[in-house]
Amino acid sequence: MTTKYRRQEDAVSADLGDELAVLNLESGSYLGFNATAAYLWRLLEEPRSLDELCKAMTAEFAVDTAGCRESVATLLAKLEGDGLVIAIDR
Amino acid sequence: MTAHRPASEERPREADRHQEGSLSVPSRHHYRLFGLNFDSERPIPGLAENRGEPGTDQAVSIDFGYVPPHLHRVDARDDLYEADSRSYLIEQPHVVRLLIEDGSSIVAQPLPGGDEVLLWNSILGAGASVAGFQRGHIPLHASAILTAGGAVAFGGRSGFGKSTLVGALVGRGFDLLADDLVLLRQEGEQFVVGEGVPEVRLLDDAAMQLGWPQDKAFALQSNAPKYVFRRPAAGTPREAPLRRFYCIEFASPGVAPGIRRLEGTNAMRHVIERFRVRMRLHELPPELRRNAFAQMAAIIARIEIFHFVRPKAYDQFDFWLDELGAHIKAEER
Repeated sequence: MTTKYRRQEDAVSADLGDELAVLNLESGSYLGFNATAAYLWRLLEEPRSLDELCKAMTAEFAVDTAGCRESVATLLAKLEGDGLVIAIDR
Repeated sequence: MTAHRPASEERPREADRHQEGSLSVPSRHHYRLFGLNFDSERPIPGLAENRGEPGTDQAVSIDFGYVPPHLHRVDARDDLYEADSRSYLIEQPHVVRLLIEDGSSIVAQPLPGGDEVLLWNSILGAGASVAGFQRGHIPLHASAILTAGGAVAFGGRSGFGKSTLVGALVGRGFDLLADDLVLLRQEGEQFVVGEGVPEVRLLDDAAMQLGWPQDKAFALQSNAPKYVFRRPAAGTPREAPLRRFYCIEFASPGVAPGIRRLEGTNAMRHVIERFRVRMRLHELPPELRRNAFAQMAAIIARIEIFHFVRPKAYDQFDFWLDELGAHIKAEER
């Protein structure tokens, strides 16, 4: 079964131009996202696998597939740890 | 525990004013400050009363009496405050214990060892900040002036020269709007700043730098110590939309003096750091976090945010004051 990721329903985000701020309502902490992280965050509105996320990111940004996969996986792990993203279908 | 007031501060009891054949109703004192109407049991020292416009918001009452040391329910706390979504209790040691509820009531219990300057500084500082926040406004640790284009505010940590800067700008012809507390009230696309107490509080060296004689101060705030300089009141309390916010910082080896635009998450970080309720954003009761966060994001989206980095020493103060004044006025053209 493929793991998919989506953002927490109670995460609140605020558009700040190219960037984004995301508030974890439960903890009250917030993160600032640059343009690429903000794009990923918007993709996570729907459950998506790591492959699906990388495909969308490489189509949008000038990044190689391997580098993108590593960066996205690292970011997902951080967001999971911060309680902003959950993994489903594991 | 009962409220204690030194004998020297005893005021005539309301019953002593009773006259045979009639009842005297204790008078209340009305003010409009920070965009809020206040209805106070006692007069605010040295401040002329003024009433808000008819039909504006219900007044925040200020009363004096016993304040319990703890709330029944606590969602956030530290050594000095406790809060839930509707109530906020804060004790400033040797000054006052305040209970602020529902954005409509401030009860103050003066504590032994305090004085009236510190007492009203707390009521109109922490008390007004929290009352405004409970009503959905955003309190910022900032000072503000009034320009032709609207309000311009200056935020920064304590000791970073907000009051000194505003005092200096007032000396150069700008109008004082508020010192130490800027309470933002969202009205559609704008954030409106209401005029605060017409005073600037300066440390000894700042007053000397600005050439404001200490013997002309209205009062001395003993805890800092700071000299309280009252400005002539404008009459009808003024309000203006905030158009620009300068975040003040001292220059350091990694941060050169200058005025630079802040945007995005960097701007938001600076604004959140200036949020003036003792609770940080992540410490707010959960029910209040979403709205506070959304409002701060709206501030970033609609207000120009700048980083004003100045040397800490006063030898270049006038130069950087000129730069700032020109920067403010350039926008008005």
